[in-house]
Amino acid sequence: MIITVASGKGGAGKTTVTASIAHVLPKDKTYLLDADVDTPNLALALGLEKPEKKEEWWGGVVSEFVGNEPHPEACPFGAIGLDGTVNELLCEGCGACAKRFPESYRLKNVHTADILWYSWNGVPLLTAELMPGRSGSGKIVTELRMRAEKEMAEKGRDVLLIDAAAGRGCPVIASLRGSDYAIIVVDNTPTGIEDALQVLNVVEHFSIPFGYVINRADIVPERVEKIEEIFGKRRGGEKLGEIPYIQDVLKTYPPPFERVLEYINVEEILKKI
Amino acid sequence: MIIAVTGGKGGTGKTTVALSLALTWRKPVTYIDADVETPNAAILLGTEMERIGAAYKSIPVIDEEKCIKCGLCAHACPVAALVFIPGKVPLFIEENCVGCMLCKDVCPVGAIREEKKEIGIIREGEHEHITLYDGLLDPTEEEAAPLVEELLRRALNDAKGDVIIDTAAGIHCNVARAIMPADKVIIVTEPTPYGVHDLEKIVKLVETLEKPYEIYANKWGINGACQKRIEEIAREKGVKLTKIQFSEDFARKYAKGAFEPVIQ
Repeated sequence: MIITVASGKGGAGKTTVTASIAHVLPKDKTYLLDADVDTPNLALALGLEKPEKKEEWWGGVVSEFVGNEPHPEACPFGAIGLDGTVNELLCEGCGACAKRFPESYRLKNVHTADILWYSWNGVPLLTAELMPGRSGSGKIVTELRMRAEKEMAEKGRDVLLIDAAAGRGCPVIASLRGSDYAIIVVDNTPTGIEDALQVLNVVEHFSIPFGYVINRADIVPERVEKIEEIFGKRRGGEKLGEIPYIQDVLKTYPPPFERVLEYINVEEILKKI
Repeated sequence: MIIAVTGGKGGTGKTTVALSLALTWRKPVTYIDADVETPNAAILLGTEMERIGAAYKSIPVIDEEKCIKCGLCAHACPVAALVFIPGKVPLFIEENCVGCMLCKDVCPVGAIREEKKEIGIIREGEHEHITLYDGLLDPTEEEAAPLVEELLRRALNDAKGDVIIDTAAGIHCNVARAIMPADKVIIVTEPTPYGVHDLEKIVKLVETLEKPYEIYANKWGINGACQKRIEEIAREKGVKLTKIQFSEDFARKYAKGAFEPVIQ
């Protein structure tokens, strides 16, 4: 069972909701994955400071100018300058230049991310930290998914809870692809709703059943009905909760998970697993 | 002058700060919302946006009549977007394709033609003295890089006065792309353990890009220990720190859809 928590908008409450749900899942069955490899915060939210294990991941590749003849036209991403050198931050590592002009360009592996293993009350938490400016966060998430699923099979764990990144691009798609259920956190603001709809499009593209949690519901109570109308009635999601604006979530650390859980329909989520 | 507003963590207030700057700018200003996955500036301003262009990627189309099923195209493809099964026309997996068109070049019988596929649109709108540009990535597209690139190219080309670029969340290549044209960077953070953790990452990216920067700490007043850490980081780095007081009133107005500048 793979459950992914996503929201589109950053700061909508994904990590707080994920960490809260982690508290009620069976500790011997669960595996946690923080797929926000740009800015992973799930371990921090759960009070974990140091990873148990860290491994450099050199899975990404970038091109290198090794010849004399520059070929800026060979790059579909505009990463090759007129002098032939490759801007590593723009290079997507597709290898088009190296295939076309092997005398001028060669691919080399680069340190793309660090993969981190944490343990929270016996529950494994896997994540990665992207090296600043690198591309390929989608590939890293796919790598994490593979590793997590392998370890789960070995250890007899069958519930994977994924905290997705903000946005709706590669890393979010890599999180949602193959998920059995999605939880969309809808921040009750005009932008929160719009961004959640962007994620919903991806969820529907993969035909994933989903539920939604309205965050900061009481900040504009009259809009809750509209959110229910869009995400529930029209798009077929089940409502999993309505969290009020709890200032302590922002102010206290670790966040008050018990209080957040009061507003989430935990039984409905536990029924899925 | 081109200013990029970024922040690492999502929800710290990048767009809030960037829009506040734009609204209080004394001269006409160009605003580029470079978060093409979830663009928010037009929503907050209530600006009516109009399509002015699009970004495309090249994809191969195989003429099945002409194809001699040699498999050279699949062999040449650097990203396994063409799969060759002997005796069959190669299978095209569009989501893997980067549009290099190497397949077309190696085809011995000219059976492959290049087709341009729209991956997203570029929009423009006017709000008082602000000319706003943003991009909307097509719902089925994964790769935002070409759209971000085209949006920046188009908007920077049209821009007359100063420019404010509002980046996406994170520290990935599309954030780097949006910071690259800037003369100066504003990093927006918040005094929470997450904000502080992510601040160090985005600072690293901005330093890698060798851009001068300042830090704006939003929601000031909610966590003393984290505030101290942000002050320490600003001091260590020798950069200016601007504090924006946390205001529940602002949060409520924002939620209602009434945006007010948080800085003058």
